[in-house]
Amino acid sequence: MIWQEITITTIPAAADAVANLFHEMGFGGVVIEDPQLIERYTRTAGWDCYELPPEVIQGQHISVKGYFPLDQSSEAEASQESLRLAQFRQRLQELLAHFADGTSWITLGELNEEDWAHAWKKYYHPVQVSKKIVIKPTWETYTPGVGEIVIELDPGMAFGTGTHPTTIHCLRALEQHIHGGERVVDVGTGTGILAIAAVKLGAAEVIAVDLDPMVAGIARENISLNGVEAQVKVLVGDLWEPVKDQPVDLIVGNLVAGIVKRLGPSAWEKLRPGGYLIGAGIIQGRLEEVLEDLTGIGFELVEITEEGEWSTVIAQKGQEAHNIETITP
Amino acid sequence: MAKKVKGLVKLQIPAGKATPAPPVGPALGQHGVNIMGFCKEFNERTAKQAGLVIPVVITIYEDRSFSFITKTPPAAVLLKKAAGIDTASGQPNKVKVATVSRDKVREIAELKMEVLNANDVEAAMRMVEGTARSMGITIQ
Repeated sequence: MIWQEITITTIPAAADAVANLFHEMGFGGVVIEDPQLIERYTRTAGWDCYELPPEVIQGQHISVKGYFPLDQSSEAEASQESLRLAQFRQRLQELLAHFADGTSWITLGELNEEDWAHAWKKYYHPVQVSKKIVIKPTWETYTPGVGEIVIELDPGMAFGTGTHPTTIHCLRALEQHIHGGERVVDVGTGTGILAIAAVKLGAAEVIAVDLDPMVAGIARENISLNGVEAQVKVLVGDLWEPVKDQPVDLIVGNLVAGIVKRLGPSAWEKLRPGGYLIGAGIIQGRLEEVLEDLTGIGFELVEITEEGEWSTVIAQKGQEAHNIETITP
Repeated sequence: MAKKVKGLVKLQIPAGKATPAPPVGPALGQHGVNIMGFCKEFNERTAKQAGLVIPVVITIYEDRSFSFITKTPPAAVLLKKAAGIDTASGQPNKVKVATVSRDKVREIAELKMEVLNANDVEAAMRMVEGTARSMGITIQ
């Protein structure tokens, strides 16, 4: 099937009425490309950072796009479609006449039917992220090699699909510091990927915390998918609130710089002597302040991994001195 | 959670009825977003608003995970509701289909301030009034 794509490029004041016209003409919804909205989000949405093409942020016009299936299998249907388009143009013209400087233009395009429900899966394949760990989307098949640990995960709303450098840093750090029987806390668990990895690497018990109840639900689904629900407890809350007084061997937080800093003092309290804190998601330019905070609390820096604009810190609560190792993959 | 934003998509779709067909499919598919994951979540969140068109803004992150927020219905939809009509006038110049009070316009403007990108309520009201006129709705 072919879809007719109609794009109306117009002034912001007319966008709502144009979208309404699409709805009234039976289109199943619209896409609105609004540079001013995106520009506003870059200033006010509290994003850590963004990378958007300049053309989506700049511009005075809004594009409203609607689609309808082009079923032209018979002459009658083809003429029906042309009539519909003619009516749409007529109403659009009437509507735009009400806006002073309502400069607008209409662009017609065609879109081939695709299996949209599944096409996005082409971006995901099993990927080996560390010596032992392989992340596998559920729909793919993979035969693990000797000693390999497979984590099954479907990407979705929660952060932690296993493709982000900070997630990979954390997985490698877990592999390095979990040897069997540890109690682990995963702060800001997202998909639950780190909690699952911790158990599969040998941790006896993992407490996975997330602020968002919906995300906690996704984590529970993934934990169950990987058969580790007996070892992982998912709690909803802000950082330590749900953890109470449970001393732990290792704390991992794939967060952002500010929250890793906030985590520092309470992590120190909760960790057993010799325990590790893995803090990830530290954006370029904020590493120094995080390191200062952690060493100020008493942590010893064990390893710092820097990749692109992201850094991950492994710190230890202990008396013995360690050499700081900096890794640049 | 080191979230680097790679895309922002705004849609207006009927509550509880998101499907992988256009406009959702092509808009999100190009970003590698789990489309069924979005549809399921959107439909659950908006099930109680059946019959209304809901604006939704989807933020897509570097690892193709996403979050979204739903907004109050568009000003055009709120105007039709206030006017008690299902469709706007096809000939807004000649055929006026309903009347809405200025108080109601102010109420809608206040509700939609953020989306309208207006500096103050008066400016937002002028935008809502413009939308109303183009739909054949008279303001009194």
